[in-house]
This record gives sequence, C-alpha cells and structure tokens, in this order.
Amino acid sequence: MSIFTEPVGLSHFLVVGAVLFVCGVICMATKRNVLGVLMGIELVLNGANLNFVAFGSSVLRPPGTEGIGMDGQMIALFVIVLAAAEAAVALAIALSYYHAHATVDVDRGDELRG
Amino acid sequence: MTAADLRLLVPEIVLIAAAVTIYLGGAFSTARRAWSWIAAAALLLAAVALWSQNPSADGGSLGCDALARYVQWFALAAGALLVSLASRPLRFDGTPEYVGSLLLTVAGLMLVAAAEDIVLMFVALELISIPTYVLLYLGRDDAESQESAAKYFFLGVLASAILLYGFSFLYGATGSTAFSEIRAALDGTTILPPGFAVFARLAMVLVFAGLCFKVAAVPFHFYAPDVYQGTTHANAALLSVVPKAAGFVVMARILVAAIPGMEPYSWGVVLAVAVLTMTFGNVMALWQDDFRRLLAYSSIAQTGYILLALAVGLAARDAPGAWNGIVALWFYLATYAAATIGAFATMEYLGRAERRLDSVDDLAGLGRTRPAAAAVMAVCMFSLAGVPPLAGFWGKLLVFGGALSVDTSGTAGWWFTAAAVVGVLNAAVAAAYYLRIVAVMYFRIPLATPPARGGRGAWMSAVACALLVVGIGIYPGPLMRAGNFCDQQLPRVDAGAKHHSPPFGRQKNPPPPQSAPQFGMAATKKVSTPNAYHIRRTLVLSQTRVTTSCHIIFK
Amino acid sequence: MDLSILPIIPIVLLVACVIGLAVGLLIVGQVLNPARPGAVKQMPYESGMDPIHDARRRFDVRFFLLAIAFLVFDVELLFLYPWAVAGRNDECRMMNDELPAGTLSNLAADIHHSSFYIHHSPVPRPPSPVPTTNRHMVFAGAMTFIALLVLGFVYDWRKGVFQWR
Repeated sequence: MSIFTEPVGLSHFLVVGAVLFVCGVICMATKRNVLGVLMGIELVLNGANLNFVAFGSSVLRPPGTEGIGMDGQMIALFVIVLAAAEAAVALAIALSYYHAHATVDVDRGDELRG
Repeated sequence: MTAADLRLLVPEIVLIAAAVTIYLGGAFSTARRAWSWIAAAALLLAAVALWSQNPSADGGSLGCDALARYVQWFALAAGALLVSLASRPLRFDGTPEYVGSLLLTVAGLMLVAAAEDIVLMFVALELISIPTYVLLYLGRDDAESQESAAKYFFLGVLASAILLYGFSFLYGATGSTAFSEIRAALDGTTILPPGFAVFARLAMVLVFAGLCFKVAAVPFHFYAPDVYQGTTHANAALLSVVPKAAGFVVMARILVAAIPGMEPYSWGVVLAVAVLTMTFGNVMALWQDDFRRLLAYSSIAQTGYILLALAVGLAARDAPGAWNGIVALWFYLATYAAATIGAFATMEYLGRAERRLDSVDDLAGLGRTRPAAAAVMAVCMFSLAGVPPLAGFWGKLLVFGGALSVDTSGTAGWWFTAAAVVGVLNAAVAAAYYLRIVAVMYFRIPLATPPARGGRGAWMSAVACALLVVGIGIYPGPLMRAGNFCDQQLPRVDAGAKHHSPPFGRQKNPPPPQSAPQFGMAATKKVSTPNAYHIRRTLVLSQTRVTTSCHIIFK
Repeated sequence: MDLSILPIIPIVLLVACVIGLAVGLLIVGQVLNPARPGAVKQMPYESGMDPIHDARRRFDVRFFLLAIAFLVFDVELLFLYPWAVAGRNDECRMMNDELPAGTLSNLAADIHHSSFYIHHSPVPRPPSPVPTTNRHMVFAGAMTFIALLVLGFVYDWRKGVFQWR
C-alpha cells in the first residue's frame, strides 16, 4: 500500500508539513519583495505548527499508544501568537526599509559586504 | 508550588515589569536620561531577588539547577554592562523603547536558562529575538542600519522556525514537551512507537542548525559581519553576547542532556562545525578594516572554540572535573563576553553622538592621545587573543586541554587531538589581527584625537570589563568552580530517569531506585498546572509590548 | 416545573442578552446620533479609501499601522480560550495540587480532562476534588494578561497610533 492509497494518517500530515516548510524556505530564498519573504516565514512556521498538531492528535497516534494530551494544540496557539508578533515587527522593519531604500526589494540592500 | 513557582520567577518579573514601565513612561514623559537609571535599578533589584532565592526551591517548568543559576547571573552581569554601555540617549526618538527592549532580552536569557520545557524555551528564545530586532531597528536611522535590521530579522526568524520544526519532531518522537520526559523516552526507559526514534535524530540536526544561527557558527554565520557593521557598538555588543549565551544554553540542555544516546553522532557534527567555524572566522578577520566587522569575525571564531568545548562535553562526559568540556564552555563564554563588551564599550566611549568610530584606523596613536582607553582596549584584545595572564588564556587552556584529554584509545581521541592542534594554530592566526589593533594603537602616528564623548556609562562599562578580565585572569578559580556543574548537568548513561507517567505503552524497566544520581536538568519539579501558562502568558504579553513599541517608527 | 429544561437556561439567557445588546446598541445609535448625511458619508466603504479605483493601487501607509495594532490585539485573544475552559472545572482544581511531576501537560491536560471530555473519557473520574486557591491563581494570571494588553493599548494611544495624521 503506498502513501497515496492508505488511509490518511500521521505520515500524511508530516509530509504536508514538510512540504509547507520547504515551500516557505524556498519562498524566503527566492522572493525579492520583503512582504513575499514574510509570507515565506508564515509558511515555515505553519509547517512546524502542522507537525505539532498532528503529533499531538490522539486520533493520529499509532494504534496501541495512548494519546498524549493537547500539548500540540497549545504549542500551535503559542506559535500563532509569536508569528503575529513577528509579523508586526516585520511590517515595521519593511516600512523603514522602504523609507531608507525607496523600495521593498531585499536585493537592493547590499551596502554591507566584505 | 504555585507560590514557589512565582517566587522563582521574581527576577524575570521585576525585569519585565521595569521594561513595561519604561515603555509606558516613555509614552508619557519626555525624559531622556532617567530610563537607564530605572533599568539599572531593576537589574539591581532582580539581582537581589535572585540572590535571596532558595536554590533548591521547586518550580514547574522552571528549573533552578546550577546551570540555570550560572547563566542567570551571567545574564544579569551582562545586562548591567550593556545598560551602562548604552546609557547615552539616542540621538532621535526611542530611547525608552531601546532601554526597555534591552531589559527584555536580559529577562529572556534568564528564562532560557531556567526553562525545563521546550515550549517555555522557545517562547523565551523569542523573548530574546523580538526585542533584538527592535533594538537593531532603533540603534541607527540610516540605510545601512535598516539593511542590517532586515537581514538579521529574516535570518533570525528562519532560524527560529528551523528550531521550532526540530522541536516539533522532538515532541512527536517522545510525546512530551518536558525535558525530563523527553530524556526518559529517548534513553529507552519508556517504549517509543515503532519508527519514532528516527525523529529524534532529525530533531537533533534541525535544533542544532537553528541554534548555529543564534551562536553564529559556520554555515549560519554569514549574517554576522553585515549586521554588526550596520549597527551601533552597543547593539553589536548585545548581539555578540546575549543570543550566543542563549544558544549555548539550549545546546547544552538539549544536545547534552535531553537527547541521550546521540553522542556518537553529535560530537562529530559539533566538532566539524567547531573547526570550520574557528578557521573561517579567524581567516576572514585578517583583512577587515571596519572594527565591528572585525569583531564580528572574531566572535564567529570564538564561537568555534566554545563549540569545541561543547564537542568535548559530548564526547568526554565521563572525564573528571575541569577537563570535561562543560566547565570550559561556560568559563570561556564568560571571559569572551567580558572582553567583547569591553572592546565595544571602549569604542563607544571614544566616539561621540554624531560620529561613531568605525574603522580600526580611527584608533591610530590612541596610546598617546587617550592612554587609558588604549590600555582598556589592549587588555580586551590580549584577552581575546589568549595572552597568558588574562582571562582568555585560561579559557583557551581549558578548551584545548579538554580536547587533548579525550580518551585517545578510540578514534574520537585522534579527532580531538587534531582539532586541538587546529585550534592552537587558529589562536596563533587570531593573535595577528588582535595584536594588529594593539599595534595600531601604540605604534602608529595619531591622525586625530578621538573625541571621547561617548558618555560616562560606556567608560564605566569598559573599565569594569577590563577589571573583570584582569581579575579573572589573576584569580580564575571561583569562576571555574562556578561553572563546574557537570556532575549535576551530565547524567551517566545508566543513571536512569525519574519519571512518573510513561507516555507510551508500559514501562520496559522497573523504575530505578530513587537514590540513583539525578541529573540536574530533571531534578524533577512538581508541575504546577496554571502557573506554567501564567508564565508563558506573561512572556508572550511582554512581547506584545515589544511589537507595539515598533509603532514608533510611524511617527 | 419540568426540570429537563434547566440545562438550556444559560443558553437561552445568553441568546437573549446578545439580541438585547445588539438591538439596544442600534436603538441608542439611532437616538443619540446627530444625522448629518453627506455625499462622502453615503459612499460605500467609507473607511478613508476612495471606493472606485484600480484594485492594485497602493494603500496609504497609515492603514498598516492600524492593521498591526489590530493583528496584535486580535491574536492575543487566542489565549483567553484555554483559560476560559481550564479555569472553571473541578478537575483543574484537583490536578493543581496532585499533578505528579512528568504529567503530560499543564493546562492542556486540564482541557483534556475538562468537563467536556469527562463524560467520554474511559478514565473514571477521580474521587473527591480538593478545592484549592489555585483557581485564583488562574484568574489572576488571566487578569495580568488582560492588564498588560490594556497597558499596550494605553501605549499605542499615547503614541498616537489611533490618530489619523
């Protein structure tokens, strides 16, 4: 039975989480717009979040092991709030970056090198 | 329990309350100089609270083992030096936000040290990171500064996310967020679901990668030179001390103590990163002219030495006393922090508000024009280079001695001997650029007398650092003993974990007798239900305060 | 009186209060509001934006400021849900005292064992909950949280975030 035909289980969630994570990293690496990079951050954090929730779910645990409480969901809550805080700081930084460089293209910030 | 838990938190609460007061006060008052005094008073109060704590008190997801105490004192001392260093008001709006954020990073470091739970640890790390972004933003208001703030922010968030992703696998593999239970699950005391053990290895790699960013280790170091160069001396001093200390605490907690059975893999990884880091940092530092950029590469190189100590700690956990790496790690970190803050404080003192000293050439002839500042700078440079009577020498001695003392019967010993040789060669290379600064100060014709208008606070900080460096160099015993908590920190492999509710299945082994040596990390506390969340709430809330503080830019 | 209706009385009360509040606010608005209609006020989306233009136009940067303030305060509210669930059951009070070290989670365990789950849980309900003062601690924690939010609000207000300049 391949991963495509078996019933949805923990591994499917982990795969989706990994895909989100990698998409986010690629987005951060390739986007030139500050806000695009910010979207990449959200994807990365939510990839990790999905892992937490999937691991914490009592339904998805392998059969025979007991549930492990709701820690996963709680962590997801904390991460959502942290992501919001980071987004707030990021918007502020993006704005001041715009003031300084008259663009939100991150590749234009290249004065520091050596 | 809850009351005791709160009592354990008093120092952090004092700092966070002071930070909130300073933010709010800044919104209501136009005072400029008072904030540093409030911050200093808060640090003093926190120190009193920490001093009066009962070290054996119980705390929920908070620990109070020797490592936590050591790092908490370290955080308070570094915080005092940094507040003093940054006591000159900013040239533009935002001084209260700056000082408040500084206090929050110190509180975050103290919480990281005490965290016994991956959630609290992650939130505490963010309590360091987010104020640091704000500090980088506030320090200067030119294009370079914005570039460095943006670089640090995006890479910092990516590192946090990688760390979090690693934590998610750690949680998934073991079914718990508490370090004591993670350890119990991984050392075979409880049975994992089939196939889950591989998650622990994945977690180790991801966590280490995320932390390499915090400590600026190769290959996650590349932000450091740009960010240091683009910000102020005070921010550079903060960046080179606080996130690094936090990163090493988490590494010690997780790699050494919470993930057992990984030493055969982990010491190799850490050793390779250590050698690469020190070599890269030292070589790149050789042709830098910008002072902060030079010290950024220097801090990368110093990270390499500290990682070498960590690798020794992973490989030689059974070695006695001073040679087991862990002592070296904490001793080295303290001496490095003192010398680095001293160097940046001297530079801050020598400049003036409108014109920073940025270049090494600005120091030309300082020995004649400003002999006292030159002496302080020379002491810090000699210590960083590891010249014998100073503190840095003892740090390097402990690190390399530890590496050489790893049992040579196996292959590990040869690798560590090779690493120690590379390290000593590196120290020789490093001496070249540290001594170049000293030579510039004493053997070059002075071009212009530096204004030395950086303020009394920066000068006090610089002198205190120099005195610390000399004092530790002459009398290193107390600091070494303070850092010698490996007996509590490192459990023997057969020690067994004390645990109560196995998350998965039945227990494989009968519980070990209670007289078995307990590892300090899990000197197990009663978990107090609401309070851990109270703590976290307070934490996250204080982050809200930080995020609101960034609104200032819209003015 | 038929007792079977008792459990839904709170819900009925809640619905009544919600409807009453909504209708009452509308009426109060109608009564107290000075009626000064104008061309600008009659436009749809009178939130400072010209409603008819290209959708990809740049927004005024001042919207970002409000967006950030909203984002932060909105998301912080998430933390009140677990508090509201966990602070109110007997199990929580009991577990506060008797939770052994190494129990899986703190607040999460409360939710897991909360009254919502208790009827479905295969684990029998532990006997004789011990009332303690910890409920006050939970309450104090939530209040501290809200107080800090209020302080943040005061800060924003003093910094002029809510002024359209």
